[in-house]
Amino acid sequence: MQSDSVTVEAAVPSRSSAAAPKDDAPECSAFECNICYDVAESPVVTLCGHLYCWPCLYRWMQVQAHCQVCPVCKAGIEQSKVIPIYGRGGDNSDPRQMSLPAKPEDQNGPVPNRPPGQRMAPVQRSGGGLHRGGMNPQQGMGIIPTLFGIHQGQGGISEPLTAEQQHQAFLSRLLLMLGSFVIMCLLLF
Amino acid sequence: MASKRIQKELQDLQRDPPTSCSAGPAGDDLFHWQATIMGPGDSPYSGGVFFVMIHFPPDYPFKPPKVQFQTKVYHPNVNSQGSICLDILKEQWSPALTISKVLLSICSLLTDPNPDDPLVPEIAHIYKTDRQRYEETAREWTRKYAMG
Repeated sequence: MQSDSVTVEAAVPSRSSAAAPKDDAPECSAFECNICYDVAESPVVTLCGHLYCWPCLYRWMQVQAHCQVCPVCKAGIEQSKVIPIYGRGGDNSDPRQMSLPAKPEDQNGPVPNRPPGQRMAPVQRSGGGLHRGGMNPQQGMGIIPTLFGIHQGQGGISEPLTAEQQHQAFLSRLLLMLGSFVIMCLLLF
Repeated sequence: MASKRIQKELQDLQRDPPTSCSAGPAGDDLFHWQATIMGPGDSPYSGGVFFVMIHFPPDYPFKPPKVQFQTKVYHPNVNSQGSICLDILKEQWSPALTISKVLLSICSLLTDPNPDDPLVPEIAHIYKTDRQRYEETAREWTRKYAMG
């Protein structure tokens, strides 16, 4: 019995390692440009989340000058709102200094540098000290903003709320609405 | 870039061929393909095999491929030259589209003609006013030109 489980365990890694080279291509395709279908060179991502080589996306933006849309989902795109992806490998030079080599088939002139990444100032949480050290900031922030129906927007941590938190938020909003309704009635009549 | 991308599409087509259509280079020229579309079962083109010529422009995929029927088709959006009136082959083209997707769109155009944007107004008129006659003629043309 025991020897069976051992052979199974031993077989699993060898099988997965044998399958690894075959699975290589589909795994890689998540990082392929949606225009040239190659691994993205100077990768950029649109706000709708679609990955492209910067030269490919730039050229597409030049082609459809009147109304620029994402090739995959047709969401609006803007050059200034494209996000560059700086991985560890690949770009050894400073991406801001790097100028892309103009491809021989590029007749539309050289491709400018990628738009720079947007760097937000880190968010300081003033109320953080009140809570116990081990507490998740999300938990600490959770109750009060939802009471007023405020969602944590940009800069905040926007993890999905748990069912309990959603229930709590719903109840507090219902109470708030009822309360304001009563006050309105009192004021009017 | 164009030839590399066309090569990749060819690999994808060979690895995962779509049902009801096939495509590949017509000769040595990678920019010139021939494709076949099987008439969709739920259309009067059922049973027919339609030959399609595909020509990739040098700036593919930034510009759409030129796609033309070589087999005669009785359809409101296909004229006697074989030209196809399909938005994704014109202003709605996107470089994220592939030949496989284009052929699939042509298949659904065969099933669901678009008589409001016709290439052959006479066929569109018949399609709108006398569906039975349209279907009979389309079946007849399929038998005559797309079988055997």
